Amino acid sequence: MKDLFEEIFIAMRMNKMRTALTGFAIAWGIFMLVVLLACGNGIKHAMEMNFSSMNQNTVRIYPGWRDLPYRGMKKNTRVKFTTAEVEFLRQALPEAEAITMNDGLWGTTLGYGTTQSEVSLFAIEPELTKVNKLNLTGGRFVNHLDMKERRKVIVLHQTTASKLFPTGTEPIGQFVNVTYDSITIPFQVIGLYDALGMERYQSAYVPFTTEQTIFCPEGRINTVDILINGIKDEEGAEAFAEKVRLLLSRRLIFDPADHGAIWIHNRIDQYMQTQNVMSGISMFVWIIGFGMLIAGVVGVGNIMLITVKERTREIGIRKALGATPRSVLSLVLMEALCITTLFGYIGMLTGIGVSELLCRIFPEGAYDPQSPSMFVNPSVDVVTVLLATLVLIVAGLLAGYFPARRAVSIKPIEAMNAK
Amino acid sequence: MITLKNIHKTYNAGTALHVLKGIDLEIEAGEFLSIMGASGSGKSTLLNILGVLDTYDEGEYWLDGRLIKNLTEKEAAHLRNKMIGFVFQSFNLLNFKTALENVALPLYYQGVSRSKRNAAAMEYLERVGLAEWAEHLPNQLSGGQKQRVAIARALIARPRVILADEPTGALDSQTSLDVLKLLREVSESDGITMIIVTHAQEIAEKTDRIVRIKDGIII
Repeated sequence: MKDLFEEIFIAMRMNKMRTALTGFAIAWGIFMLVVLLACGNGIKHAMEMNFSSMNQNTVRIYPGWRDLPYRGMKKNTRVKFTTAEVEFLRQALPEAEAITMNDGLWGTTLGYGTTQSEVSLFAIEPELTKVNKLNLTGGRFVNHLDMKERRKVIVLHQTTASKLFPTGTEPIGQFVNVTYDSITIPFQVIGLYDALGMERYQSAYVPFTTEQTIFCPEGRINTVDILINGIKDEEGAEAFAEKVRLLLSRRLIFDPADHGAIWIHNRIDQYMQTQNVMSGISMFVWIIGFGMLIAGVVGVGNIMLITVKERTREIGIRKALGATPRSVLSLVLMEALCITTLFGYIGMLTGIGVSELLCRIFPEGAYDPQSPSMFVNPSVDVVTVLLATLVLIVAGLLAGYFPARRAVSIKPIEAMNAK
Repeated sequence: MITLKNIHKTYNAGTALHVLKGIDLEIEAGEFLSIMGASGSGKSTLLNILGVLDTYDEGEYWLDGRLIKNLTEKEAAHLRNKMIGFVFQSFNLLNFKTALENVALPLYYQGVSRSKRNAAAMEYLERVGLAEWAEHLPNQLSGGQKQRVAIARALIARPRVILADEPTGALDSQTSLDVLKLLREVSESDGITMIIVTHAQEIAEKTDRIVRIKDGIII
C-alpha cells in the first residue's frame, strides 16, 4: 500500500502544474458546495428566528363579509363577530389549548408631556402570552385582575418607551395619554416588552375589557387566536380550520363554502410552506454544488486519460514485468482518488473556514429583532461534511474508472513499441 | 523447456496477415540460442508468443511442462513475472526510477517487501557490475549500462527463460560483445534458457544454436 502511494506521489509530482490545476477544479467545486450549503443554512436559521415570535400551532380567525347569499342573509353583509362567539368557540372546541380574542385600534397616539408616538393599540386577554411570545423586559403583563376591574393600564414595547420618555425616566408607573378617535384617556404603564423576530410594528397592549368599555361599546372584536397542539401536518391543519368554519357558519349564518365570511389564517400551514421553501433551497444548493463538482470530476477524468496515454509505454513495461490487471487498475484509480480527495479536502476545509468566518460576521447573538436579517449563523454540520466526503470519494472513483479501464486494456507489445 | 507445435498466428488489421505459418520448435533447458530472421519474417511475433505477451491462433505452446493456452490476464501476468525475463533493444527502463528501483520492479509485483527487494536488486546490480550506479536514473547511464540494468531486472525474479529482443541493437560492437558475454555467463551459472532474437549474423554466431525463420516458418 505504501509503495502504491509512493508510485502515485511520484506520478503527481511529475506533472505538478497539471495536478495542481485539476486539483483546483475539484477544490473549487467542493469549496462552493460547502459555502453554498452554509449560506443555505444561514437563510434557514434566519427564517426560523423570524418565526420564533409566533407560536406555530395557532389558527387565527378574522371576521369578513359574506360572499354568497345564505338563508336569507344577503351577499356583501358584514359577519358580526363578538365576544359571545368566542365564548361559543371555547365551549365547542375543548381540544384547543387556548382561545383568546383581541381588538386592534390602529393609529392610536400615545403622549407623554409634549412627546407623542403612534402605535397600534391592542386590546387583549392575559392568554395572549400563550399565542405570542412576548419577552417582558420590565414590570408585568396584563392579568385577570386588570380585566375584572377594567384598569387603565398599558404594556409598551421597549422602543416605544424609549421614544416617549426622556432618558433617566423609569417608564413603569408613569401615565401616558392614549388618544384614539378623539378620546384621550391616561393609562398607567405596567410593563415593557421586547418581541422576538419580525415585530416591526410596535404594539401597545391594554386589557380587553377596558378598551371595550372606553372605545368600543358595541362589543366588536378583531381577531381570535386558537392555540392547538397535536396537529402535525398541513392536512390536519386544514381539517381543523374547516371544523371551525362549519361551527361558525351555523351560528353566524353563512354558507360553509363561503371562504370570505370568516378568514382563517393558518400559521401551521404557513410554517409548513416555509419548511418546504427551505428544503427547496437546500436541494437547489446541492444541485448547483453537484454541478460544479461534476465539472471538476470531468477535469480529473480528462487529465487521467491524458496521463494514461502518456504512460502507455510505462504501463506496457510494467505488464511485461508481471503487473496484473488489478495492480494497473488500482494505480490509475488510486491516483484519481488521491487527487480528488486531497484537493477536495483542501476545498472543504477552506469552505468550512469561510463559513465559520461568516458565522462570526452574522452570529446568532447579534440578531436584531428590529431589522430582521435574512442571514443568521451560516454553518455546516457534521452530516453535511461526511456527505461531501462520500461525494468526493465517489467522484474520485468515477473520475478514475474510465482512464483505469483504458490502462488495463493496454497491450504490452503495442505499448512498448509506441515510441 | 519449451515446445512449440504447429503454431499459427494471423493478424487482422484490415486485411488478414498470416505471420506464423506452423512453427515447430523444441528448446532444452539451459540452451543458449538465437532466432534469426529479416524484419517481417515473424521473429518478433514468435518472441511475443514465447513471452506470453501475445496469443496464438492454432497449435500448442508448452512452457516448462505447462500448456500455455486460454490464460487469463492475471495468469499471464504471474507467468511472465515468475518464469520469463525480458531484455529489449530499447532497454525499456522506467526513466523516473533509479537503476536500483528498476531492477527491483518485478519483485514489487510479487509483493516482496521494499527492504528485501532492494537488497536483492543491489545484489544483481553488483553482479552486472553497476553497484556504484544504483542511485542513478537511466538517462545518466550509457547504453551498455542501461542494458546491463535491464539484464539485472530480467534476472531478479529468477526466471527459467530470458527472452532478449535485439539486446545489442542499440549498442556499439564492443559493448555488444560485453553484453553478450554477460548473457552467456548468467545463462551458464543460473541454468537459464536464453533466447536471443537478432538479425545480425555476428551476434547469432556467438550462440550455441541458430534458429532461422523466414516468412513465418523455420528453415
